[in-house]
Amino acid sequence: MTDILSALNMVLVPLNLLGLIAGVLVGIAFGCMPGLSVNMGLALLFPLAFTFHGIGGILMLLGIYCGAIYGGSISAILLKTPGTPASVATTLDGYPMATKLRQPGRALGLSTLASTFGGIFSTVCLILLAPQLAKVALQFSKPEYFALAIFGLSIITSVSSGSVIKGIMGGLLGLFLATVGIDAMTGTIRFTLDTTYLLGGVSFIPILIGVFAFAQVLGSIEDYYHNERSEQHMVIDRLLPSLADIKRVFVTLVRSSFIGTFIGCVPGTGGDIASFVSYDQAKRWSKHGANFGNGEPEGICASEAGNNAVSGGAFIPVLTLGIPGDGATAIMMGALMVQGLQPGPLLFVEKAPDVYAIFIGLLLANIIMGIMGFSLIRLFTKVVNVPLHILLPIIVMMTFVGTYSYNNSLNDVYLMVVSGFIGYFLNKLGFSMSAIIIGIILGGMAEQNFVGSLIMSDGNFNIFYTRPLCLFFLAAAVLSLLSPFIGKLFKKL
Amino acid sequence: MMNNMTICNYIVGFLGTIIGGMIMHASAAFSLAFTENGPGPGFWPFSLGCAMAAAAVVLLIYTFSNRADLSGQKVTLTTAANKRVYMMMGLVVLFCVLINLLGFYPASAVLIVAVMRLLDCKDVKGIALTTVLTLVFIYLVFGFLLHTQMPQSIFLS
Repeated sequence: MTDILSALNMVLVPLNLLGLIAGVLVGIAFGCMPGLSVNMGLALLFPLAFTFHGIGGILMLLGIYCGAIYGGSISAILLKTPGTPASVATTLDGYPMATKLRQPGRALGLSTLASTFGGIFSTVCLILLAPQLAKVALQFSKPEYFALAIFGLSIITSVSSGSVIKGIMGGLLGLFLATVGIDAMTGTIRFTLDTTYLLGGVSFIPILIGVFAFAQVLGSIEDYYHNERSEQHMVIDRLLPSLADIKRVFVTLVRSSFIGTFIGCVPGTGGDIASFVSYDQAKRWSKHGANFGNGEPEGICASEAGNNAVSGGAFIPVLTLGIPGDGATAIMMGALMVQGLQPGPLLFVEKAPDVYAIFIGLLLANIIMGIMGFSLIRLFTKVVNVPLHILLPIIVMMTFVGTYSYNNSLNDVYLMVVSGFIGYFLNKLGFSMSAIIIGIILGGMAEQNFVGSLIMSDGNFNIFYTRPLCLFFLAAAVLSLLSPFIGKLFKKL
Repeated sequence: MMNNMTICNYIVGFLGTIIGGMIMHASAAFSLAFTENGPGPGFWPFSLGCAMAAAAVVLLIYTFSNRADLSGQKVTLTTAANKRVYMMMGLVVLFCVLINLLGFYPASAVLIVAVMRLLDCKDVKGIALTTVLTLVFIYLVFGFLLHTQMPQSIFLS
C-alpha cells in the first residue's frame, strides 16, 4: 500500500502529469500523420524525457506510446491511410463508415471508445499479471537471464519483415556495438578507437534517433517525390457512440481486448497482428459478419481495441523479464535503463513504487487518450492535413536538437547523422532497425550473464542445458529463430 | 537506374563477411582464454564476429540459390527521388559544418529554408513563418526552459 501511495505521489506531481498529457497529445499527433510512426515519436522525444526529474520522462513516453497507437486510426478512418501499421485493419470498416455512410464522427467515436477500452483492459491485466510473473522470475539466476536475453534477441526474426538473415545480421551488429567501451566484467577497454568519446560505450540515444527518426525522414523525402498526400475535409458530427452502438460492440470490445493483450505479451508480435486477428475473430463471431468491410461498427472496434490492448500486454515481458517485444517497447526499455530502472523481476522488489507509477501512468495515459479523443478530435483531423514540406524540416530540426540536448555534444549529433544515413540504406536493403536497437539494448545483459554463468560453472557450458528454465528459454529462442522457416515448411506440407 | 536485390545481397554478404572478419581480428587482440574469471574480454565479441561472418555467408548462399526470385526485387538507389534524398544528405552535412561556423540558430535557419525549397515549397511566406516559428519554439523549449546551451559560432566563442 505504501508503494502505491508513493507511486501516486510521483505521478500526481503537476509537472509529471503535464508531461503525461503532453505525451498523449504529441503521440496522437504523431500517430495520425501518415509517414510518422510510434517509434519515431518515441525516439524524437526520448532525450526530452530525461529533463524531467524521476519518473516524469517515462510517463511522457508512455503517453506518446499510447497516443500514437490510437492516433493511427484517425488517418485510417479519414484518409484510408493508416498512420501506423497497427491501424491498417481499421481502414477496412472505418473508411467506408466515414465516406459511404457519411458518418465520420461515428467512426472516430467508436475507434476512440475501442482504443480506450482496449488500453485500460490491457493495463488492468498488466497490473494483475506482472507482479505474479515477477515473483516466479525472481528465482532466475545468471544462466536463466542469459537464456532470456537470447530469447529476447530471437524475436528479431519476427520484427525483421524483409529478411530473417538480415535481421540476424542487424541484431549481431547491435550486440557488437554494445561491446564498445569498458568491459563491465574485466574493466578492459574495447573498440574505442582510442577516443574518450567511446569510453562509456556507443551512445544509445543518437543511434536511436538516427535510425528511427532521421532515417525515416529521409525515407519520407523519397516517398514525397512520388506521392502528394490527399487531404480530407469531412465534417465531424456526433462523436459519442450511441447506447445502441455500445451494446452492439461490447462483446467484440472484450474479446478483442483479450486477444490484443495476449498477443502483446508474446515478444515479436505487435499491434498489426493483434488488430488483424481481432478483426478476423470479430467477423467470425459477429451476427453482422456480412456487413464487415462496409462500415461495420464491430469491425472498427475489433481492430482498435485489439491494437491498443497490445500496449499493456507488451509491458508484461518488458517489466518482468526485461524482454522488449518490438521496436517501441525496446525504446521504452532503453528509457527505463537510462533512468536507472533495470527491467526485470528485481525491479518489482527494489523499485516497487516506480513500477506502480508506470502502471498508474499507463492507466492514466489511456484515460487521457480517451478524453482527448472525444474532446479534441476536430483538432487532430486538422493535423492530418499538415503538409509534409512543413512537417519534415521541423522533424529534422527536432532530431538535431533532441540529440544535442541530451549531452550537449556535437559528437552525438554527428553519430546521429551517420546512423541516419546508414539506416536509410539499410532500410532499403531490407534490414530491420528494431533488430539493431534490440541488439544494443540486450547486448550488455547477454554478455554479462553469459560470462557470469561460465564463472559459476568454472567454464563448463553444461550450465546452459542442465537447468530446466534455462533450457526452456534457449529452446524457445531456437524455435523462435526457426519459426519463419518452420512456417514455410508447414505451408508446403 | 535500378539495382536488384541479388546484387545488393551479394554486396551486403561480402561486406558482412569482411565486417565479421574485422570484428574477429580486433577481438583477438584481447584475451580469448578461459580463466577462473570466465572467458576473456575478447571471447564474446569474437563469437559475435564469427556469427556475423557465418550469417553473411548464409546470406550469400541463400542469394545464390534464390537469385532468380531476388532479381525481381528492385532496390531503387539512383532515381530522381533518391537524388533528392542525397541532396538532403548533402544539406545535412553542410549544416554540420555551418553549425560550427555560424552557430546553431543561423545554421538552422539556412537548413529549414533549404529543406523546404528541396521539397518544392514555393510559398515564401510559408517558408519564413515555418523557419521563424520553429526557431522560436526551439529557443523557448530548449534555450529558455531547459537552459540548453546551443552550439555557438567559432567566431563568437
